[in-house]
Amino acid sequence: MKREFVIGSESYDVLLNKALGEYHLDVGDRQLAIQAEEIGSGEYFIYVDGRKQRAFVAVDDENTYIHMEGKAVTIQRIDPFEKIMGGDGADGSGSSLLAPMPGTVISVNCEPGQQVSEGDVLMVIESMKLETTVAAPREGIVEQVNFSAGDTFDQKALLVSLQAEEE
Amino acid sequence: MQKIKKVLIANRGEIALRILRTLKAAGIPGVVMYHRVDRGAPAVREAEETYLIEGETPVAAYLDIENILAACRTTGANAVHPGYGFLAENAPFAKALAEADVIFIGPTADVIELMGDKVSARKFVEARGFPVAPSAIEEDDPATFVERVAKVGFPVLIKPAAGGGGKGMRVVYDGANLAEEVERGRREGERYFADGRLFAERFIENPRHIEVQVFGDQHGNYVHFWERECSIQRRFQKIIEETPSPALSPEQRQEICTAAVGIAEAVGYQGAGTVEFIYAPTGEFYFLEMNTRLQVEHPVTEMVTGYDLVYEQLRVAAGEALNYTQADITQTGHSIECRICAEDADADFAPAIGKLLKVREPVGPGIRVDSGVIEGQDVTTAFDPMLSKLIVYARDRLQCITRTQQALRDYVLLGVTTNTAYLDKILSHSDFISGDVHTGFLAEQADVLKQNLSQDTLDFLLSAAALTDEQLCNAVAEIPELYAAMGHWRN
Repeated sequence: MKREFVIGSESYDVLLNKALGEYHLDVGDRQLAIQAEEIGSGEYFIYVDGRKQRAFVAVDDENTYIHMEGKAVTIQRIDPFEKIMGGDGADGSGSSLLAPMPGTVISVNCEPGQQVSEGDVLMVIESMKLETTVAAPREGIVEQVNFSAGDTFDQKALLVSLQAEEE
Repeated sequence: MQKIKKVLIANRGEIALRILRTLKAAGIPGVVMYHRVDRGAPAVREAEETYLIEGETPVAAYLDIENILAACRTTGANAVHPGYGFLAENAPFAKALAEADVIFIGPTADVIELMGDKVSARKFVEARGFPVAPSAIEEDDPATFVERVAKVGFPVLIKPAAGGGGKGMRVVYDGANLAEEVERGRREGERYFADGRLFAERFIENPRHIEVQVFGDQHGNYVHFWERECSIQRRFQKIIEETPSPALSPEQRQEICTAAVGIAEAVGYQGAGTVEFIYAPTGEFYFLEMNTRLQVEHPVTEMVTGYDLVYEQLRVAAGEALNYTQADITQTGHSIECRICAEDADADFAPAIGKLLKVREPVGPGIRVDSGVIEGQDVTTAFDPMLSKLIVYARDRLQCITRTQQALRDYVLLGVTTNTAYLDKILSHSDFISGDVHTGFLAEQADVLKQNLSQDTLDFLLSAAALTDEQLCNAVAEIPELYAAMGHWRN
């Protein structure tokens, strides 16, 4: 069965097989013989092609958190089937300005339908106690403004979008 | 310590627990006040007595002076330890407690007022002959402020007069956007400190931040507990502190510590305070500000001197005289503190949230963890992103660095992104090891400090993720051997 694992901005397609009681993981064009031995609550020995690492693993609905070799890594699990069904609706040609981190809107400096030039301040937000301006990445027309001054937003929230560029 | 019957801890997180531990060891009853979002926090669990507070936001609850006065009345606490942050440097708060006949474990309201304001503190210190950097103060003549800032020379650092902790500070490199930056700084000051007055000073390139722990009692005795080097900062906030500073010669150390005690004595300081200095690469140092409270990084001082600074604060607040002299306070060995924060260092330190699914603290010789979180707790953006502090002691600096690195690697925190691997990277950097750092070090070395995964690590990670994915393993197990051998089955 297939899975897509996402670590940071990198995505990895893997395929897990089991044959004759042994697990194999296809990563790219390589096949790894793998095995896990649970040695405590959330604590494992992971074997890859006969080599061993100790790992602490915790899982929630979306992610797998692994502490191994002295550091923690978050892996997002994506079921390729669900991804196709869900569709992400991105049109690719418009410009969506997403919040880089959670924060608060200080002021909104544009409105839907407004013509803006590259570099125009569309919104002033505050994250981590510092003010940042959200500027237009290109010339265009404001499509959506999703927040008002004083509103709080989460990371990756769509703050402002510009209409798709006409060819 | 008879004067102190019961202490209300007006704070949260790791510092509330750290204060509670000293109170328990000293046999003084302690009360932990908490907002409901903190009900599962370790300090609340470990306290014998707790007091629930409310507010419009969790932060507002901890900032509400009336809440604290009511808590004292209800619980019979006759002293308040403010910790750091929140109301720790709020003169009206100290005054309100005094009026309610409650002991404030800290300096007098007058001293907080004088030293808590960067502008008045600097004037005071300068007038008494201590070194300060070229500067401009807005309220001297608001109309000419922008011009005077330009005269200080670029780059110039603009900050709220009432601020602290790096909030609202900005560096301006040339005069082009000066008026705009001044206006923005003023707005931030108003928002965070309800005070838009600004202060600007020459930004010294590649400076170090070196501070000195001072103490005074109510009987005119003043001492220092040596320095702390706090140059490793991200976004103007410290994340690694150590003592002794690798930058100072014994003579320079003596000079800077003596200046700090002189400042404490000049203001008649009572309790624990910290005098912060900017230390230029050329060896000059300038007074930056005084923090009239316990610092986040106080444990490194405790490690190398052997004193419990919270206990000493209690003694001073109870009116007792320091029962040691400067000569008794020796600096032995080396200590490093790392601030463990819920943030993604690889994504511009964006705050991280989530549930702590697994927590396993490091142990071993010389390792101390002051933590405000436990397994199962939710981490939100309601408060500061600092989860805990790892404090490590060793006989010398190199051993301390490697011990700290091992402890960071052993520190398991799953479910919320933290900066432990980033801290480890900093400690492995050759410039950190040689002690050649400055407050802009992290920004300058950002590319080098990014995480990377080797192919080998990646194989292990993907394998672990696959084998602990129950849904995936179950689906695979259902496939009959024959089809499995053929591959390409449907989902």
